[in-house]
Amino acid sequence: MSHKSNSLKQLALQKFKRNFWGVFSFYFIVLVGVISVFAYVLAPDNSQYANQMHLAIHSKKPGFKVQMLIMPSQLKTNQGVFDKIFFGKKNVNTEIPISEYRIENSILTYKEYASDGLKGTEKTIKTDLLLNHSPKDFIKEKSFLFGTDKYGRDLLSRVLVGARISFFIGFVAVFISLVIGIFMGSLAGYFGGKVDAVIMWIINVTWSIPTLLLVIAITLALGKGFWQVFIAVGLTMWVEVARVVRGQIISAKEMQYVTAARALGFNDFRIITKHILPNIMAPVIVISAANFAAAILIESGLSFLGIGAQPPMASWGAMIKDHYNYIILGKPYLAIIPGLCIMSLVMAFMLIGDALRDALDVKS
Amino acid sequence: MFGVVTVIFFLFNVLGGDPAKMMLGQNQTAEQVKAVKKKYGFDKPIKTQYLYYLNDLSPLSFHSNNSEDYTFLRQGKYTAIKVFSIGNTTTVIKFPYLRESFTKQGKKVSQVLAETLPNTFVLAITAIIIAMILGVFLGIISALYKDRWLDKSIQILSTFGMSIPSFFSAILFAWFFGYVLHKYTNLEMTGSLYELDDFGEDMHIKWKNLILPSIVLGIRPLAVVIQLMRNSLLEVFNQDYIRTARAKGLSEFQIIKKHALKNALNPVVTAISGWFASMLAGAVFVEYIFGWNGLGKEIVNALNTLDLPVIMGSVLIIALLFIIINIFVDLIYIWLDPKVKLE
Repeated sequence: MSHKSNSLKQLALQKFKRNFWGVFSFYFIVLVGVISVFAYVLAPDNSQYANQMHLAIHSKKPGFKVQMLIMPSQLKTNQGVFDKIFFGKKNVNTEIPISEYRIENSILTYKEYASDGLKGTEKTIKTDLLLNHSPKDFIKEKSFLFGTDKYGRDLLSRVLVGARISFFIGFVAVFISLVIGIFMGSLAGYFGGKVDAVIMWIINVTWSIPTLLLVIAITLALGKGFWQVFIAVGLTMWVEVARVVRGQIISAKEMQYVTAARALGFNDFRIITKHILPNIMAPVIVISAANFAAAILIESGLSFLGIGAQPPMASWGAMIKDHYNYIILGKPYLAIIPGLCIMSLVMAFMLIGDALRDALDVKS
Repeated sequence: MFGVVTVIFFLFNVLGGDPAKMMLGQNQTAEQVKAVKKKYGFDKPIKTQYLYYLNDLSPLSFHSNNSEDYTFLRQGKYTAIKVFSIGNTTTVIKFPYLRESFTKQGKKVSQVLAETLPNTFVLAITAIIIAMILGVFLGIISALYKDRWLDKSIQILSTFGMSIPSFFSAILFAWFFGYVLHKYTNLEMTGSLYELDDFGEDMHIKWKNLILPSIVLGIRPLAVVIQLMRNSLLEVFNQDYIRTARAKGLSEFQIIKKHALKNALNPVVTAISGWFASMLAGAVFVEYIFGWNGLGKEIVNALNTLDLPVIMGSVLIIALLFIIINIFVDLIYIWLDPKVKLE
C-alpha cells in the first residue's frame, strides 16, 4: 500500500517537473518565501517595519542618492540579535539627509537637504557627540533603488518587508481553512444524516455571503488589524475545503478499503485520518493553492480599504492605498511596484495550482 | 436566508463594540447614550434585540400599542397596512425595514440601498456582457488553436487577468485611459452614471463613464469565461456528433455555430450567473476608485464611518440577490440541458 502511494507521488512529481510554469512558479514562491523570512537582512532599511522616515526626501525617483548624516542612537537597546534579524531594529540611528558639510575645529556644519528649490537650513553640531569618529563613519551616501515613498521611506525595503504579510496571510488562512474544512467536511461526509444536514446548513449560509463582505463583517466584529484579517480570511475559506472533503469522503466511504478497515474493527477516527484522508488529499492540495492566491488578494484588498494591516506595518495593499494618488503626479511607480508584486505572487500560486491539478490529475 | 440574517446580526452585535457610543462619537453624555440606546433598543438583552431585528425585517410584523415600547409603530418609521389587532398588539404587513443610517441623520437604509443598488446593477450587467461576449470569442479561438502560440498567449492573458487585484487594475485603467490617453479617449478618471450638469441643476446620464469601470470589473469574469469556454469546447469537440459534422464536410465555423456552441455554453452560463452576485461585492473596489455612485462605494463610506445598519443592510441585500440568482441559475441550467431534471 505504502509502496504504491509512493510511486503515485513520484509519478505526480515527474509530471509536475515537466510543467515549465509550475516549476518556475515553485522557485519564484520559494524565493519570495526566503525574502519574506529574511526581509530585514536584505532590506537597506532594517528598522522595524522599514519605517525610517526622512520627510525631506519624500517621493524621490528610483535610484535617488543622497548624503546622510548618521547620528548614533542615544538609547541603549537590549534587543537580541535574533530579534533584530527577524523583526527589524526597534532602535535606529537618526538619519538626516544633507546636501553639504564641512568640519572646522571639531565642529560640523551641515546644510539640510531641501528639494523643490528651497534652501536648506544650516546647522552645526559638535563632532564629540558623534563619538570622535572620522567623517566617513557618520556621513554616508545612501541610494534608494526604488526611490522613496511619501514619507521618505525606502520603497525597496517596504516592498521586501511587505512580502511577509502577503506570504503569512496565505499560510495562516490556508492552515485555518484546512483545519476547519477537513474537520467539518469529514464529519459531514462520514457520518451523514443530521450532522451532515447541520454542517451543510452552515456551509450554505457562509456560501451565500460573498467572501469579501463576510471578511469585512468579521474584521469589523473583531476590530481592525492584522491578526483579525488572518482569522477572518481563514474562517471564510474553510467552506470550499469542507465541500470538497465531504464530497470525496462520501464517495470514498463506499470503497472496499474502508469496508476492510471497518471489518478490522478500527474506530472511525482512525479510518478517517489514516485511511480516507491520505487518499483524498489531491483535490485538497489543489484547492489550497487557489486559496493561498485568494487570501493574498483579499488581504491586499482589505489593506487597500484600510481595514487590513495598520500603519506603520508594511503591506503591499496599504502601499498602493497610500500612493495611488501619486500616479497623476508623475510618480506612478509608487503604486505600480507593490501592485506588480501582488500580481506576480498571486499568479505564481495560480500557475502552481494549475500545474498541481494536471500532475495530480484532479478534475476541476 | 434566515441563517444569513442570524449570522449577520450576531456578527455585528455580539462581537462588536458599543453601537450607541459609535454613533455619537467622542463627545457624548451619559444621557445622550441612554436616549440613543432606548431609541434603537440597545438597552435590551441581545435575545430581545435579535427578535426586534427579525420583527423589523419580516414583512409580517407585530407592534405594541404602547408608545414606550420599542415595537411601537412610530409615525414615518414605515408605511404599513394594518391586518388585525389583538389586545395591545397590532399586526401589520410592510416592506422589510432595514433601520436607519447612523450617520446620515436618520436616512433610511432601504432608501440608501434604493439609490445606489441600480447603479451597481448597471455596472455589473455591462461588465458581465463584456466578459461574456469577449470571453466566448477568445475561448473559441483558444480551443480552435489548441496548444499553438495563440492559445498559449490567451491562456497566459487569462491567468494574468485572474491574478490582478481589481483595485490595482482599476487604478491602472483610470490612470492610463483617463489620464495618459485622456486626449484620445476623452474619458474621465472618475465619474458616476448620473452627474450634475455644469449649472448644478439637472442630473443627466453619462454613459461614457460606464466604459472604464465595467471593463475593469469584467476582467476577472472574462478570464474565467475564457478558461471555461475553452475547456468545455474541447470536450465537446471530442464528441461523436462533432465528428459526424466534420465528416459531412461542414466548415469549422458552421460546426461551432450550429453544433458545438450551444452544448459548450452550458457550464459557462451557469458559472457566469454565479459570478454575478460576487461581482456586486467585487464592485466595492472598482466603484471606490472610479467614484461610481453605487453600493460598493456606499459600503466603503459606511465602513469608514462605522455605519453598521448600512453595512448590515448591504450584506443582507447582496446575500439575498445571491440566493435568488442561484435559484435562477438552476432554472437556466434545466432549460439549457434537458437531461437535468428538477428534483
